Amino acid sequence: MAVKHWVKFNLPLILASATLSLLIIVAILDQSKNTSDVALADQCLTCHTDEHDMSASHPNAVLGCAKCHLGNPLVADQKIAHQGMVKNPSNLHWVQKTCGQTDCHVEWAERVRKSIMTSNAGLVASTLFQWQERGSPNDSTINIAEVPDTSLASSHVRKMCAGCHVNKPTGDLPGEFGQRGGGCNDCHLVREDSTRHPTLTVQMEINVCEKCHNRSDRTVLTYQGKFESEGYGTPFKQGYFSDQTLSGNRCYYHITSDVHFEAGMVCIDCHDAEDVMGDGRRHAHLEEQVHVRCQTCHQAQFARPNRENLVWKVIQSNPVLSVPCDSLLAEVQPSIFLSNVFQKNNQVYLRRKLDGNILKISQNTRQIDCQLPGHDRLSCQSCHSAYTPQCYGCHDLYDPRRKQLDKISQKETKGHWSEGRSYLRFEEPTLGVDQRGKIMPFAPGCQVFLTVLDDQGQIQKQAEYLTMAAFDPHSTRLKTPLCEDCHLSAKRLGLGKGHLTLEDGELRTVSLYDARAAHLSTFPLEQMVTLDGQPTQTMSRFKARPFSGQEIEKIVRVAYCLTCHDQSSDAIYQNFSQSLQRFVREPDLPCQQLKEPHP
Amino acid sequence: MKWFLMICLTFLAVGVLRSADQTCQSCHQQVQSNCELTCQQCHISTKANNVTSSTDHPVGIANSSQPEWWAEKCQACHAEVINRFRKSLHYTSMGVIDQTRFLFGKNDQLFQTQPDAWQKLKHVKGVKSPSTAGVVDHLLAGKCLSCHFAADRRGDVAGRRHAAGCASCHVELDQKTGKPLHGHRFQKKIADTVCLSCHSGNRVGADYHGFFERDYYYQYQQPFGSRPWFGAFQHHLVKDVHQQAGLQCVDCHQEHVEHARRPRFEGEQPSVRCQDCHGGFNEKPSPNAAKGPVFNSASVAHQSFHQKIRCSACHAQWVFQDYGLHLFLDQSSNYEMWQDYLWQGDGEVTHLLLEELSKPEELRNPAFSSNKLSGQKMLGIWYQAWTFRRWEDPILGRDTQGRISVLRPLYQYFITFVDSLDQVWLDSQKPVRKDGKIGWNWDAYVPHTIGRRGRNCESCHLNAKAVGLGIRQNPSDSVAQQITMPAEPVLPNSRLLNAQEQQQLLKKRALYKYWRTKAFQQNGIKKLMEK
Repeated sequence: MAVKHWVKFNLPLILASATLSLLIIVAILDQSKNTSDVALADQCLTCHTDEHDMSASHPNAVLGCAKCHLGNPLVADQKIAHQGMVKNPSNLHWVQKTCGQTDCHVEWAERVRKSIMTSNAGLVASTLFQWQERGSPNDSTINIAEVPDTSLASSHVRKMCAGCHVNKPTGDLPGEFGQRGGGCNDCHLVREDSTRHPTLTVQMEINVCEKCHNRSDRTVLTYQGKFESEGYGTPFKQGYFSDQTLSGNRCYYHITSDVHFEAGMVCIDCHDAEDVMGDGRRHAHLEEQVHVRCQTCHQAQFARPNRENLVWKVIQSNPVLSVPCDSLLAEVQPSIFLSNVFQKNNQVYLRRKLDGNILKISQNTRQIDCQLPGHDRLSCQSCHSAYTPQCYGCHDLYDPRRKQLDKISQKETKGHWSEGRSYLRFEEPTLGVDQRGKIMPFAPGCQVFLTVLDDQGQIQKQAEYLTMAAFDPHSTRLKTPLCEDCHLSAKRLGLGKGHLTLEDGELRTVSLYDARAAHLSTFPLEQMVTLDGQPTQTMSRFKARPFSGQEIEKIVRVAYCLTCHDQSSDAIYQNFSQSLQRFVREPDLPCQQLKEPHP
Repeated sequence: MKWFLMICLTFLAVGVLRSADQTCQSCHQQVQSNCELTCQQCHISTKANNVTSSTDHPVGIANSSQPEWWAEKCQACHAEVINRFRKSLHYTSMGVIDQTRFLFGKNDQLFQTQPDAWQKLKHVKGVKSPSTAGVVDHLLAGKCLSCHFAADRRGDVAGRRHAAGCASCHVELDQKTGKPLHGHRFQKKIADTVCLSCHSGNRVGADYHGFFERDYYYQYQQPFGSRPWFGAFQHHLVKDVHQQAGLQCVDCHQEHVEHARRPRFEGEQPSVRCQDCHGGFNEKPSPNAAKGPVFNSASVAHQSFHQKIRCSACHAQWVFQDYGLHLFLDQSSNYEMWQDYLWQGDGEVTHLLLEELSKPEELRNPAFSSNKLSGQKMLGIWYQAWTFRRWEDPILGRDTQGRISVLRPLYQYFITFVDSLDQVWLDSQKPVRKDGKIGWNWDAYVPHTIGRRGRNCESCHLNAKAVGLGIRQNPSDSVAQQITMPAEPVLPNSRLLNAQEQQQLLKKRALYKYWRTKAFQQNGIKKLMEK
């Protein structure tokens, strides 16, 4: 019965996958027919007899070796055959001849070359901008691999930051660092066994993303409920530090994870091919390349991709994805679709890309809490991000007497950078207005306390570049903090950890950190604005800003009403400014005529 | 032969005594003292033939303010003070010893510890057995009681140096050198630096001055050029309002007060109360009190429904929340592991690590530390780490008198013990009490971070963490980190809030709504609304 029901329910899918499989087989047969002379001519396999196929769609018998690795496939002599060969075909320097050649992945290879993961344009321009070495954090033409070593900031970028871009050489450093890079292989290669040819996959697990996205905004850690610990390495394990380790002598402990992680979703379940590999345009910042939004799934709009749309190739290459080619798919942006979010019987579903399991997606169309007038500028993240990794104070020390690996030139060069911190937190993200005008969680990004030594080890220069940045922390929870947790919270409103109180009708704050006594700037590191709206730190984007003094007052005013009117559906919030006027003008409102209840 | 030597020494001593004044002064010219006693009245004893001798001071007592000399040297003048002090917790350390032994499964129950327990701890020479109960006395004598008044810690690190005996409080040391700061004199008024030599390391006292230990890992030793104090690098937080007004510890706290009976823990030690100076519910300030703000009975927070709440529960600006105390007894010579953790709030650890790490590996010794009371070396030293530490709004519970009080998670122990052969005997083990329960404890305490105004109502009301649900962004979401869930306090009558009390705080009852609204109005919300 269950099977029958399943078949009935999935009939279109089954039919679709059958058709697709058939198509693939025909295509492969067709291709092998066309290239049969090449396969015969690829002499590589005469020696490399025991190489395994990289994936079902990359069979050696059909493609041979030279299709990817180049060289001279027609010669049986090893020396001549290996001339011009590339060990790693997916290196972006020659990817157009290999993965990106005609007939193969032309579009994607070209996109990856221009993508933000390759250029790291935002990271580089932001650092140079924050260190006051250039006028703008926006420059889509920058490529991290070509940043000249001409200044403190560029030296810092080359030695401290250039360890993650997609096309960095692999194996240059021990551990996780050495596994990063290599072009397409950075994500698509699976090394299960060092004696065998690695395989290729489009089903990237979280650890693929985690090997890079575990620093700075630490999204992949937060998503899994991992929080980088404050250096203690506890709990001790077998007389040594904790075995919950991250690269760079770091450890983590668990906090509540993202609700999507709890549902078994991995990064690529939301972040589609365009998010990760780009849309073919050069972007100045990550958020310009990443198109998926909470709304893409939770207020899903569906459309039918045309036959040329790349989403079909994505579906085709993943063995667990299969939808009929006349399906409606969730549209991220015009002509960009999620390959795994579809609609059926007025219900929206997501198919997990690793195991094919299906999840129902609730649609948020009439949630009164989310549609509250006055909350229109709030991003989903501002309420639903439970925790945000906050690394306060980045103490950079430059010592010209020591040498350090330049990760771009791959040479030990003069000058050594080391980094320290003030403190880490995961609680109560600060809110502000991002460059889109949306209210978002903010966190340090970065708060640089720069010390430059001279050749005698004396302080040559000291500077502070304190910056806050908006980002999605990836700690989504269904439950949100209480209204008062924002409306009356000094930290969330950007005023710093402390107490926000009202005295004689004026707002006051008590800051807990004594920044001056600690010789750390003038204001506490969590603070990004004063009560009268003066920013105390730079924002990482031009249009981003903390709340203004007036906005803070407006937000706090609501706290008073929240004492009794604590439901979003409450009438007073439908037109709050009108309610406010009534409160001020009508002395006989219940709020004005308090009666002490009998306990 | 032995007897012969003794007799010789005694003659020598008498010789020294006869010409003592002349002889002392002629050498010790730099000694400046305002006291009217002669040198030998304090430093020479006819009964002192058991004292370590040297050729020029055959029977000299270096520090006659140590308890073993009180009867002979101090009692005649200071009998009353000594008798009072003998009862106090500074003398007995009963609270610390008793509670730790109970939590570690050595004692069946609380309050089985005798007042002279600290003296017996002098005889601890090592670990009894590889269990939490077996290492607890090593921990007490080797680490905790470095703050006991009889422990000579002149050789500790800056901030933590104190002499032993009466001198531990009454002779202020230069924290950089360990030498007396004011010459050869006792001080009647004790400076705060003296109190802080023990009451630091995220203990009450440090908070009064806004100190909060930085994380121990070397990367947190910031900003560039910072120096450690109290054995660790320090954050600087907002100071207590009384400190800002120029008050020192001893302006409120007097040690030598009469105890009706011997206090077993801090809550039983007679102490000054906020109400003594500021008045309170149905209480006027004492006429002797210095002029300060007086309890405002019109304030919403000061209505009768808050009568069972300690002042500090609302007026503390921040409190210590040090989660997960990881103690690691290491007898091995594996110092590499600790090279990035040189400053852990314990000078002996710092000194040992600096010394051993400066040697080639093959010359390194197994770790030793001193019994802080006897000075004898014991195999093994205690390293310390945390899960994480926070300065935050309080977590509430009931203290031993049933009052709503701030609780702190200072005693969430994880014990590790590695012997000199690198064998791991205890692996992050939570101590187990004799009754089978986990030996953890959350303590009611009085944060000394008082602000003129109390915190907002929402700091406790509607606040999941405040009521004891741990850090969680919403009362009905799961707890962010299990370690933030409070453990039951062990002292009598002290407890966490019960479910009903939690609900009372989390729900907006009519009474709450009325008074919260009133509080807003009192503070001028209307003016803000009209803006």
